[in-house]
Amino acid sequence: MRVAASAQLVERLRSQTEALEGDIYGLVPECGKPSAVAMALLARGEGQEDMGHTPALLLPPPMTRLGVFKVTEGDATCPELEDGEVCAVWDQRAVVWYSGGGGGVEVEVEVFGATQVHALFGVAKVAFTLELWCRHAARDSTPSPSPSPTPGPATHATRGNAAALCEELDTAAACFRLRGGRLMLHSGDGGGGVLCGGEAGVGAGDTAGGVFFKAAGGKKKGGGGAGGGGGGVQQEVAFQLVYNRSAVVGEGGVAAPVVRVDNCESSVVCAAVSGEAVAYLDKSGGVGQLGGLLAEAVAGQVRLAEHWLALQRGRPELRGPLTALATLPQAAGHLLALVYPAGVEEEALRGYRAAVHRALVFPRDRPMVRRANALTPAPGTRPSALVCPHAALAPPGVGGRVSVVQGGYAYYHYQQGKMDDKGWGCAYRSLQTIVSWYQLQGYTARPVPSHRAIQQCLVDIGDKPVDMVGSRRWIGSTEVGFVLETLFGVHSRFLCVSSGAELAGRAADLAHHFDTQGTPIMVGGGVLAHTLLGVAWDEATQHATAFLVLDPHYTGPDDTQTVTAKGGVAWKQPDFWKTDAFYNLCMPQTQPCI
Amino acid sequence: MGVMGRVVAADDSLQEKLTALAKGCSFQIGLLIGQNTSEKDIVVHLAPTPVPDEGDLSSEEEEAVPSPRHEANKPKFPDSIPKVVESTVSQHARQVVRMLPGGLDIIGVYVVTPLADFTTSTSQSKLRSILAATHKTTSRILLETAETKTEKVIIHVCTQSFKIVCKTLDISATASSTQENADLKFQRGGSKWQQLSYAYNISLNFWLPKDKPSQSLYKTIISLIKPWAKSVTQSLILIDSELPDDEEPLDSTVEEKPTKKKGGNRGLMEFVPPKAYKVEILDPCIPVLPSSGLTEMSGSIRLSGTLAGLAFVHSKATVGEARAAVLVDLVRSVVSRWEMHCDSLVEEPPSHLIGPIIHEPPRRVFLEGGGLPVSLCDYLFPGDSCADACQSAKELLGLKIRKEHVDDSQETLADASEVMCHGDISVGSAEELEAQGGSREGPCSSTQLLLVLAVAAVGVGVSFVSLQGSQVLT
Repeated sequence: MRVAASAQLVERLRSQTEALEGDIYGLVPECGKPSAVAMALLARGEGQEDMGHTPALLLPPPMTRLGVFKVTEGDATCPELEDGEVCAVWDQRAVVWYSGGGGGVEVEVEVFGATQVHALFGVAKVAFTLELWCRHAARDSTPSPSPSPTPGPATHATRGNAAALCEELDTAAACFRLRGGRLMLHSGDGGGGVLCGGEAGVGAGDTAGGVFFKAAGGKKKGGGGAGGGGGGVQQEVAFQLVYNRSAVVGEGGVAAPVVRVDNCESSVVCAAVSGEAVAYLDKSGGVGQLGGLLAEAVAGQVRLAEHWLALQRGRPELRGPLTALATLPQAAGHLLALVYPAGVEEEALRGYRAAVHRALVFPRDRPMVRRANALTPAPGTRPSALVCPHAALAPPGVGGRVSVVQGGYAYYHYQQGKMDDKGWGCAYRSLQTIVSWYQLQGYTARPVPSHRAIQQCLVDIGDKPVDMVGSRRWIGSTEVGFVLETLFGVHSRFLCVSSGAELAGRAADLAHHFDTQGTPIMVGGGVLAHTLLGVAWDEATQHATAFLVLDPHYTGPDDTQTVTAKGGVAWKQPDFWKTDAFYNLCMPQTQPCI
Repeated sequence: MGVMGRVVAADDSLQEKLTALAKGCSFQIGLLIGQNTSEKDIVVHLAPTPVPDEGDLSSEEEEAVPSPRHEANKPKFPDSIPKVVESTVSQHARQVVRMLPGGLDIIGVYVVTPLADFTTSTSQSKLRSILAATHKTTSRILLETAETKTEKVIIHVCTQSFKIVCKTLDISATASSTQENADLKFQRGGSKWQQLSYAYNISLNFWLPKDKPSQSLYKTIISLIKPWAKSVTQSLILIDSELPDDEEPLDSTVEEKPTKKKGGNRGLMEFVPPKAYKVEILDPCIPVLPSSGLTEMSGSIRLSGTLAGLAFVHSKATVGEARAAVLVDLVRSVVSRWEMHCDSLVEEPPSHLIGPIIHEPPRRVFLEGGGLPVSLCDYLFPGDSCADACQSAKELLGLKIRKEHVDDSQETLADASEVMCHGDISVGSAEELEAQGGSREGPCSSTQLLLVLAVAAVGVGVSFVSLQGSQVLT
C-alpha cells in the first residue's frame, strides 16, 4: 500500500506538542498510485461541542476516513488498527506511519506537495440556492402520560425539510449544469450520470480530467472551465445546481397535483442557503459519478445549514440568509466546506471558528475559515488581477535555502483597471499587492484601495496636504506603512539599507520574514519601488543568492505566460539592487487571530 | 390597396366552414384559436361562443359577471354584434383557454353577420371591447409571467355576400382603435406543427403567516403560486436531452425543402402528424420564500404532484419559442386546475379543522382528432369520465371528439391517502397525525378508509376531503 500525505498534514502533526488523538481523512485516488492521500486531521473530542455538529461535515467529498493519528510525548508504538487503516504517530522526534491490522506495520509515506495533489485532483464547485425551513408545532405533541425518565430528543417536536432536500439531491432530479456549457450531469441511477452530453457529446465513461481539464496551458482562463494547464496549479470546474422537474422520481405513476392544507399553528424558521459547495474531482475518475459527488457536496452544506437554522430559533441575532462557501487555506492544504449566517459580523462568529481550528488541528494564529477566505469571492469583490504568478516559475537555479511568500496575493502593476499610473504608481501597486495578500488570507474583507483612496487616507491622517488627492505624486515605504496601519490595522517593520549590497547581506532577516510572516515586502527607497516575494540564500555566507521580485512597472496582459516571459515576476541576481542606492523595506506583519 | 397588413394563415377547410356558416345562420360570434408567430398569425379552429347556462358562472369575485338572468329582456341568442354581451364571450374564452395546450391561444374573434351590422361604429367599438375583455381574461391565467399579444385578429364573413374579410386590431390602450386590413391566406393542408410534451413534478410548500388576513382559498393559492410562476420563466428546457440555445431552430432540418411526392394523392390531404419532442424542464432554484427568520404561522399549504404538459409550435419555431410555449402551458395548467377546483367548491372548506384537508383539483386529459392538426386538453374531476371531456369539447369548441381519442392516461388521480401519510417533504407526517389524533395502531389504514368513505359520499363536484383526527374511527 503506497500512501501519501500532504506536506501540510505532516507539518501540522509536527507542530503539536501535547498528547492528542484523532482521525486522518483524505482522498483515495482512482488511479491507485498512491492508494490514498492523507490530508486532514480531525482531533477526537475537540470542538464538536462548540460547533454543534460533527466536524467531518466540514470536509468536502469524497474525503473519507483513512485511519488515525496520535501525538505522544515519546511513545511511537502503533495503536490497534483495522485492516486497511493507516496511522501516523508523532512522538516529538519523528512522524512514524503504520498500516494494516494486527500490530501495524511501519510504512514509508511519501510527502506530497500541492503540485502532486493538484496533478491528481481538481476542484469542482457547485453554485446553489436552497430554501430551508424548520418548524415547531405550537400545539405540543400529546402530553406524555408519564414523565419519561429521559427527555426525548430535541428534534422531536421540530421538523424541517433538510432531510428531504438531501434525499432529493440523491435522485435524478438533481442536475448540475457546467457553467457556460451545455453539459448537464445528474445524480440519479445510484451515483450519477450524464443527462446531456453537450457539444462534445460527453459520455459517463469519459474521465473527468479529459473532459474538464484538457485545455492546453497557454489558454486563457475560462469563466467556468479549466483554469490553466496541469503545471502544478489547482484546476477548477464550476457547475450550477438545477432541478430537473421532469425527471422520473420514485416508482409509481404520475399522480395529478393535489393541494394539502394544514391548519396547524406553528412557528417556523426559514432561511435561504446560497453559495457554493465543493468536491474534489478525481481526474482519472469517470464523469458519470461526478453528479453523485456534487450532490453529496451540496447535501453536506445543507446539513451544515440545518445546524445554523436550529441555532437561529433561539438566537435572533443569527437569523437571516445563510452563506455556503469553501476555503482552501494554505496551512490546511485541503478544502473546507463552511456555512455562516450572512449578516453576522466576523467577530461574533469567533467562537465557532475557534472550535473549527481546534477540531481540525489548525494553527490558531491565522484566519483560515473566515468568509474572507472564501475560495470563490462574491462577484465584484476581488479584482481580476493575476494570483500568484510566481508559482509558474522554475526554482532560482542557485544553491541555498529558499524562503518565499506564503499564500496567495494578486499581482498589481501599472495601467491596471484603466488607471494610467505609468511613471508614478509603482509604490501604490506594491501596496495593493500587499493588501491583496491580507485579503486572500482572510485577514480583511475590505477592498483593495484605489490610488485615490490611498491618497485620501494619507491626507486624512495629516501626512499629506489636501492637494495630494488626485495628484500623481509618488509615495514611499513609510506611506505604505501608514496606509496599511490606518486602513487595515497592519503593523509593519522597516528595514533600511544603504546599498543593494547591504540588502543581499540581510538575507537571513528577509528569510525570517517570509518564514514567519509570509507577506510580500514593499521595497522603496532612493529608486523605483518593487515588491519582494522571496529570497534564496546561502546559510554559510548569510548572503542572498537570488531575489524573487514582482515588478509593479510591468505593463501588459494579466496572464501568467506573458507576465513570466516579460519578467513581471522573476528571480533576480543580487546585483539587481543598485550598489549606489539606499533601500527602505516595508515588511508588513501579521497579528495572531483566527 | 393600402399597406400590406399582417398575414393570417388558415387551412382551406376553415374557408369552407366560414362560407357554410354564412349560408346557414344569420348570426354567430366565436373565438379564433391559433398561434401568433413573429411572421404571421395562424388560425387553427373556430370555436362558436355558446350562450352560457345559468349556473355556469365564475366564483372569482373580481370578475363581476353581469348574469344574463338579470337581463331578462335580452334574447338568449344575440342576433347582431351590438347585442353580444362581452362577458359571454370572455367567459367562453376563460373556459376555452384552459383547453389549449401551450403555444395555442385565443388570437381573436370571428363574426358571421351581414356587412351592414359589421361596419357600424357601435359594432366596431363592441368588437373592440369584446376583444379587450377576452384578452384580460386569457392573460390573467398567466399570472403576469408572459405577455399575450394585443394585436387581435377579426374575421368577418358576410351572410349575404359570403365574403370573408380579415382585419387586425390592437386593443392596447395606447394603440389606435382602427382596424387594419390583414392578408388572410387559406392553405391546403394548413400549417405544419411541432409537438412538445413533458411531465412536471410540482412540489411547493407555503406557510400562512398568522398576521396575514385570511383570504378565499382561491386567492390564497393564486398569490402563493405567483412567485413560483415567476421563477418558472427562468427555467431551462432540454429538448430530446439536448440543451440548445434559444435562437436555434427547434427543428434543425427545417431548411431542407421536403421533396414533393410524384403522382400525389390529391383530394384528401391528410394532416402530417406533428414532429414530436420530449421536453424536460430544469428549475434554476430561485428562492420563493418571502422572508427569512422566525415567523408564527397559522398553517401551511402544500401543492404537489406530477402534471402532464403539452405545447405546439409552428414548423419554423425557434427553441426560444418552444420554451415559451412550454412554460406558458405549465403555468396555465396549474392555474386552470385551481380555478376549476375553486369554481366547483360549493362553499369554502372550514378553516377550523385541525387535520389536513386534501383538495383534489381536476386532472388533465388530452383530446385528439376533431379534424384538428393539434391536440387539445381538458380537465376531469374525480368522478368525471372521458365522455365528459367530449361533451365540453362539443359545447365549448364545437368539436366532435370520439371517446377513444381522449387520452386520460397521462395523469392519474392522486391517492389522497398517500398525500396524507407520506412523510417526506410534507409539513406534517404520519407520526405527527398520530400524535394529534392519539391513535396508535395504523393511522394510515384508518385514514385510507376515511377517504374512501368521504369520496363515495360526496360524489362528483366536491373534491376535497378532510381528516379530522382519526379518533372518530377508533
